[in-house]
Amino acid sequence: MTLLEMRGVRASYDGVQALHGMDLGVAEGEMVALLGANGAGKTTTLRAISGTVAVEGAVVLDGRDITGWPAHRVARLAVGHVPEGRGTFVDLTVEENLTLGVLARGSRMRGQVKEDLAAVHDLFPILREFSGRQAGALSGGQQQMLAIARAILGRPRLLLVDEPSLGLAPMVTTEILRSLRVLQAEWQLAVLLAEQNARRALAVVDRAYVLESGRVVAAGSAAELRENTAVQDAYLGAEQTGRPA
Amino acid sequence: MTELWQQILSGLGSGFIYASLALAICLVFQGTGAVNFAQGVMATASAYVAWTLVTRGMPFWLAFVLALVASFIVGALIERVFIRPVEGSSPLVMLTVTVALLIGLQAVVALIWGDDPQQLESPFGGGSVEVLGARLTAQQLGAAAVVLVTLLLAGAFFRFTTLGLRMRAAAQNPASARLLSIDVGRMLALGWGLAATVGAVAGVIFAPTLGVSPAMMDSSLLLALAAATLGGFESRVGAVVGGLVLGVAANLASRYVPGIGSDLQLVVPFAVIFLVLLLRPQGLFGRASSVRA
Amino acid sequence: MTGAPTRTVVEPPAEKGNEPTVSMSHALPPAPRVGLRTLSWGAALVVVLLLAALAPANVISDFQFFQLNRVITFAIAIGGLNLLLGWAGTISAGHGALFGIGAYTTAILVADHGVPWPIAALASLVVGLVVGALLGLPALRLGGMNLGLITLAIAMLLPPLLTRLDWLTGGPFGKTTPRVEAPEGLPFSSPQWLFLVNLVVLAVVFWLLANMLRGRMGRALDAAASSRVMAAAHAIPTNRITVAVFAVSAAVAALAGALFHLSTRTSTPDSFTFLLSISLIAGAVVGGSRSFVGAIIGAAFVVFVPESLGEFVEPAAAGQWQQVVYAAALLLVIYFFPRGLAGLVRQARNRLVRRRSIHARPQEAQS
Repeated sequence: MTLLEMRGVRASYDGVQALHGMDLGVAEGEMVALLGANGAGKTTTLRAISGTVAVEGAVVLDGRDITGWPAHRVARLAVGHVPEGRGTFVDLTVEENLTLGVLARGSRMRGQVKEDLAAVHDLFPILREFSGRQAGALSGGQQQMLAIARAILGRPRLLLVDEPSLGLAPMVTTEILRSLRVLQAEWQLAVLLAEQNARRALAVVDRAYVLESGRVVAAGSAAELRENTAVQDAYLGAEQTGRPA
Repeated sequence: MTELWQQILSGLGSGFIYASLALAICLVFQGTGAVNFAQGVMATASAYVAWTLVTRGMPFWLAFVLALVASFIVGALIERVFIRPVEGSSPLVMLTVTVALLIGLQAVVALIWGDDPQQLESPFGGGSVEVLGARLTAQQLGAAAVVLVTLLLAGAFFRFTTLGLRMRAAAQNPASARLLSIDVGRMLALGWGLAATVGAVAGVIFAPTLGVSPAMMDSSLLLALAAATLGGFESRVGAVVGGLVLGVAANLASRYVPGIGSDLQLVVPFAVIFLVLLLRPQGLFGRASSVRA
Repeated sequence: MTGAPTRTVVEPPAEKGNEPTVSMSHALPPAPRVGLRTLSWGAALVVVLLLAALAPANVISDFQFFQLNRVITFAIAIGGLNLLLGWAGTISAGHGALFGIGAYTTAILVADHGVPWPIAALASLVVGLVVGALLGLPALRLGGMNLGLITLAIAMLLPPLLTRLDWLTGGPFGKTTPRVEAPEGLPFSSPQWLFLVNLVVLAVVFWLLANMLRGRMGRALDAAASSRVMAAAHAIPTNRITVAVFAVSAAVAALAGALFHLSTRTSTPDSFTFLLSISLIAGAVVGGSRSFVGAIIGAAFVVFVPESLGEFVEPAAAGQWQQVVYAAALLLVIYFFPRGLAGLVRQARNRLVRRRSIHARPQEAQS
């Protein structure tokens, strides 16, 4: 059952086109990666879905055309977005950040809040320990965990995650991706994960799309893409050839 | 000593006007990044609304509440209509818009109610009370109490309610707030409405002392701006404390410093600000954030 | 004045136009290359206005010259303010007061000490420079917004101070100076003569400011305004530059105030309230705070728009309706031209230039 579908989506910033007809789909409860180099359009694809960039074409969520909807209305359809830069509310406490996540679920699953919070705290114990601290005081990895926790506490059906590994140590990235996978399975989330580090992403996702210059250039199951030599040459080598710290 | 105490208390009295206007300015600034020069004249309009209702025979407190409700609605509308088109613009553009609002609203107030000063009867009667040896009028005491309650309520609202949390989130990181299904535009309008209401409390409750006239809030506005600077524009508590400090400082100066009469009492608050900013450029309560690129 | 013979009318500009033409010939050629094209436009505008000054009195009345003088003096002050708003990335809510300080300095020197007005005006400039430096000093520690609010203080304090110091300033009645007459033999009324003087000052001041901004100072300012971190990384002394710019800007405002006083002849404390400071900021934003043409447009806006409605409404409420219209006009300009009206002029000029470059050749060939 398709949850999200994008057909011929184009988007641009200040006249510079970033997406040139993007077509992709995500099924319910599925974890999908968007792979590609810097500027391939991964972030823009996520933003096109969550309504934070103006688009042409069609973005369909659960049979409903949400093209051009403002971001807060898309979010109310249970779309969570862990944005580039983590979107931390730096002056609020960790607890308040998480409360905002809970508030985002609106009237859905109100009875679940306590258990969900407990689950999130089990997954990221550091967030319980630092719950009274200002979120701005957390480290980058902790803020990334906070961002994911905040988004999933909204109980999304579709979770968009933008480069969780950016600027983090490999150990931390692995831990975060693994946690994401655990949650995804437990809560039946559909996850769309934008990730430059293809090897890491392919280790956890079901399927992936490879983007280049704002278009899909390859797609397939994680296993297929791992075997695909062209993809390997282009993207899986990325780790050896110096990634941004 | 009693004399000093007396001066401090009456300074605190006017300090409450600056504190509430400063809080209003601070709320607007946090939300929309605009230094609202029209905050004072908005409070003036509220005072006129209350005055009109009272002269039509309405009891003071009912008129007070209705004026607050009207102020809330008008404040939110002003954000929707006038601020929205320039949302996210440079501070300079924002400033010019609020200046235009100041000029326009001041004229509209004068067109509707005329230039002549009006009197509003004090709801606290004409009595006076002795507080630890100082004599305060019931109006002074009552007005201060009402403003104090308002400030505490505003504080509690932001700290303990989910709507308050949403508003803080929207002010602090609008892009991220939107992703959490917060309608940022509505929060900003609410912020302006709330700011207008806080300002209106000061405008109406102090109207019996200030007199109701188009210019009644002019000097208070400037002191409130000073107070917001003193407290750091980012800090609500700081704005309130700043207002109170300036009220006392101005009053003491005009009384005790030779050569400074009521016309020049503004010298002292600015001297205070000057000193504070030299020592703590981020204001008394502002966070020492590093330069944002 | 009206029936002045043609010969004498032609003569003075050759004489008086000396200064501006010199400055223009310097300013014109390099301007397009360096990108300060607005300056060449400013120069062109000056020429047009200069011609206007020669028009007989039935075309432009003395009162209209008086109004134009207000525009020009405001334009000079706004040009100075633009240094802060457009380049230094800071704000002054006290330029109306600096303008007032300049006006009073000239008024006092001329009225009480018999100083000739040109020297008095220069004294205003110096006083402005000193006051500006003193006010700019806190910039050593403060960022943009705080500096702006510090300047609020002098905007607020000047009027009561002027009233209080009546032994110096004449108290609430202010100071009045005699009319400035054109030198013997020149066929100009006082407003006309001042108009020419003001134009010359405008041209010289803007030329000097443009030169200053074109040099190292301008680049340093741009760097400092766009990112203090970057500026610090390149060892640009941000604070010292800001103080210097503030002082220059204040000096320009004070000079403008001096000229303003020479036109109005009477300065009272309530001529220089906080509202004047605000008007100057509004003028800068309306015109475009990075443009000297914008300064002139903004000044014209601030002077003419509030008065334009006066004739259409009943006199009792005229002032208020003017304010409403003024506010509405301000808002409209900001909504539709957030970078100022000067951008509009630039567009029109570009279109014109393009069209001319198409049509110009055949004409040139013919002539």
